[in-house]
Amino acid sequence: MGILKIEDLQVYYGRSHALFDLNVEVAAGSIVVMLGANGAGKSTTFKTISGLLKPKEGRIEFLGKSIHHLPPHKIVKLGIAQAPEGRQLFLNLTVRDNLRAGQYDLIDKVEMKKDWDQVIGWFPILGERLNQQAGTLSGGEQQMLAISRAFLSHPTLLLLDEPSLGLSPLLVQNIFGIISKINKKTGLTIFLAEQNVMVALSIADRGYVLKLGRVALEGESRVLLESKTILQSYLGVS
Amino acid sequence: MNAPLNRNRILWALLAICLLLIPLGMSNYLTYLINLSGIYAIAIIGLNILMGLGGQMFFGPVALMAMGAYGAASLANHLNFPFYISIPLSGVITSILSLTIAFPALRLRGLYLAMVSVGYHFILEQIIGGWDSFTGGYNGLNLKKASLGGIPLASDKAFYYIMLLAVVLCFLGARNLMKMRVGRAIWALGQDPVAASIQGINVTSYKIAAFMVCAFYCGISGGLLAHYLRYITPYHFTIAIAIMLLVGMIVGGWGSLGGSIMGGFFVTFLPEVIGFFKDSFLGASVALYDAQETISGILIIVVVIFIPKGLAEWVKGFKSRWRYNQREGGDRDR
Amino acid sequence: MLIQLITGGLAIGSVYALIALALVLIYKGSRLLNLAQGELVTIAAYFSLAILTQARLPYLAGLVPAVILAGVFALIVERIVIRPVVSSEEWSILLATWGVSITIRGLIGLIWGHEPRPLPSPFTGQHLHWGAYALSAQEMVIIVTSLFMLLIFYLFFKGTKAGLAMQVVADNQMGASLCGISVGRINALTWMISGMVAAVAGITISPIFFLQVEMGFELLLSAFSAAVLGGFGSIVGAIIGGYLLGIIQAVTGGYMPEAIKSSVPFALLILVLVIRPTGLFGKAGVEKK
Repeated sequence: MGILKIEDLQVYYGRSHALFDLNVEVAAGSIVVMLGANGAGKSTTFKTISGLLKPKEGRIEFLGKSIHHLPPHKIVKLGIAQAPEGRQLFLNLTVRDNLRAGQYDLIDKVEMKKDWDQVIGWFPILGERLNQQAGTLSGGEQQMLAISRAFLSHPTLLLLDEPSLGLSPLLVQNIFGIISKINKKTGLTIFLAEQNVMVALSIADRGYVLKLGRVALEGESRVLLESKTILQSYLGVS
Repeated sequence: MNAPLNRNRILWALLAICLLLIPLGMSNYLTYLINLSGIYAIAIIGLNILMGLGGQMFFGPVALMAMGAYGAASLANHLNFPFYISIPLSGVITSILSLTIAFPALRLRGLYLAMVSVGYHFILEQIIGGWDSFTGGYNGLNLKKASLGGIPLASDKAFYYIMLLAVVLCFLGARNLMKMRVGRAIWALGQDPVAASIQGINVTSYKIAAFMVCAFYCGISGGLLAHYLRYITPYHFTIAIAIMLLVGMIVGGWGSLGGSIMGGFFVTFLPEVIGFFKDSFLGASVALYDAQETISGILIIVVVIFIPKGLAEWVKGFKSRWRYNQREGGDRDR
Repeated sequence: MLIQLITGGLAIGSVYALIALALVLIYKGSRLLNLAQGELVTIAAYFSLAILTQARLPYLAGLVPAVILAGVFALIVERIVIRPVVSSEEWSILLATWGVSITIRGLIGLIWGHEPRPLPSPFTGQHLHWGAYALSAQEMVIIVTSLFMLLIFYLFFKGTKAGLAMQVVADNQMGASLCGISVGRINALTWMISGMVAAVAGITISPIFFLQVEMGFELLLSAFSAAVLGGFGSIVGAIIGGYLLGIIQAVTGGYMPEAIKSSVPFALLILVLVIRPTGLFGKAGVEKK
């Protein structure tokens, strides 16, 4: 059962047509990855899902409800959280305040504490740096903070825009391992955008390949991994 | 091919004749208002070059007008220069004096420049008010009658022709300036100073040039005002008038020359219109000044929200639609 | 003599600090300079005049409804004027706030006229005796209420969820909306708080300086100078800048002619902008225009 459905989406970024006839479905409890080179339209898609951009045509449905006309904060309330392109952390605030901001909308104190402890468990380094200014964290730590902040809003769907960007291969393995663990332990549906094909497909159930704003290829990740020649022609993967 | 060209020429000739004949059919008071409109229009052209073209947020044009006014007055009173020398000369002097704000402005952007230029205005107001011996302080300064070749220009109507000539010259001057290298450089730095400097434009020199040109225009405007009213006080050069010039510029059209002319009319006629409505609808007991303030304020808000591009753009839109309709009708046999 | 200059300076400094705080809050939240901030002070003072004279409430009791009224007024201004223009260019927004400023001034002139009015306060003319010195009671009231207001603000800003939301929106609007925070609502809240903070400033200073239609603009300029002195964009800087400016103004005014006294904020502003534009606490390069 698809909890997120994108149908015939047309999105413009300023005056340029960025997304053409986009059709995507994300099943509950799965990890879906959107692959593509720089500028293919991954971030545009994610921004549109979260309400930061409005589509010209088409619809986005979440849990059966139409969301593409809603303002971003309402979409968060419905249960979609994003660790966006550029991370968009509150660099002048402490790590603790960044995390608290993620929990802004929540009221169940017990649940909030449970989530908090879980996050610190996955990323103990954040626990050590709670009182530090977010801007002083390393790239990898900031990425962990962005993912944690998104997770802390207790979402039903978690969007991760290029979590591997700028990180060392070791850190990438680390973070992707945690992402997979989050999905397996909590059943949280995860939709991620990535340029790093191999790592992404290794934890994903399903993938979409985006090229110049269109879906060029889609399928189960196993199938995509096997058709390496096809991947090569679309992404230049070696 | 010749037909449309001739038609344009005829239209311009008609316009010129109308402009020359206008004062004959009007009251002195109306001519007075039109004269003031022209004077302020010149200042607004200067402001448009600095703000609309060059992108500098400057609230001090009236301070520059004051410099031009008192400068021209001194040249006329003490050195007996005729007005057609004292006015352009005081324009040049104002231009040079504007370096006192142009240099600090180099280090300031947007908001900060706006605030500092307000401070500049106030400081200048203090200087004018305090320097009794030169400016006559708050008691004001009188000028002798302007005369052309011995014939005194006493009436509003006589001054109209001088004002018209000044406005036409200033308008053409600004138009040509915008086409020249200086104008295009100022436009570039107004759009994006970083991109401009990468393209080899010396941002510093052209910023200063923009200030000096604006000052020249404001100085001329002030000089004309001084010679026309023949009596100037610091109250003629308040910050409120500066704001009105700014509003006039925006209402007419940010960066538009034609809009500057409209802006001049806006600045002069708005208080009259408000006064008229106030008397008709609210009665004489309501204080005029406060009614003006309130309505001006609301008008500014409405303009900013609904007509951000100004009247000139709106008129242009109207004109191009009219021309389109005309062409559709007239060229069918082509 | 000096001690009285200093208390006077602290009093006017408190006023500058509060208004500067209001200015910086709005600037941090929505990147705009509120040229109508001075008029928000003025209208608050006139509200309190109306309440004190009509309702015959004692001074401090009349303060509270006036502050709340001022907050609501600021909120209305934000919804009607600022909301529609918030996405326009900088000069548009600036002019819109200036339009508000002119309109408020005109309305005050129409309703109350231009004569300076004193705000009745039981503290006027009273003195507190501290050792050998006689300190103006009203000045003490200003200092104490301002500190109290700053304390309440601090507790709100650091301790409540809404305060956190304000900090968050000021830091990164996109990130804030992705946390489920309605940026529009927080901006409205920011205006309301700015209105209330400015109100306290206006109401406490009016018994000394008298209520006038034009009092707002000069206060705005001084508050702006204070904020720039402290480093425009820094809340702490704005507050310290306010007190500093007040003391400098009072102390120099005690030893210099009256005319120069009102130019002190200007001169200081130009000096700071030319020598050290980031002020005492500002960060270089972090600010957008």
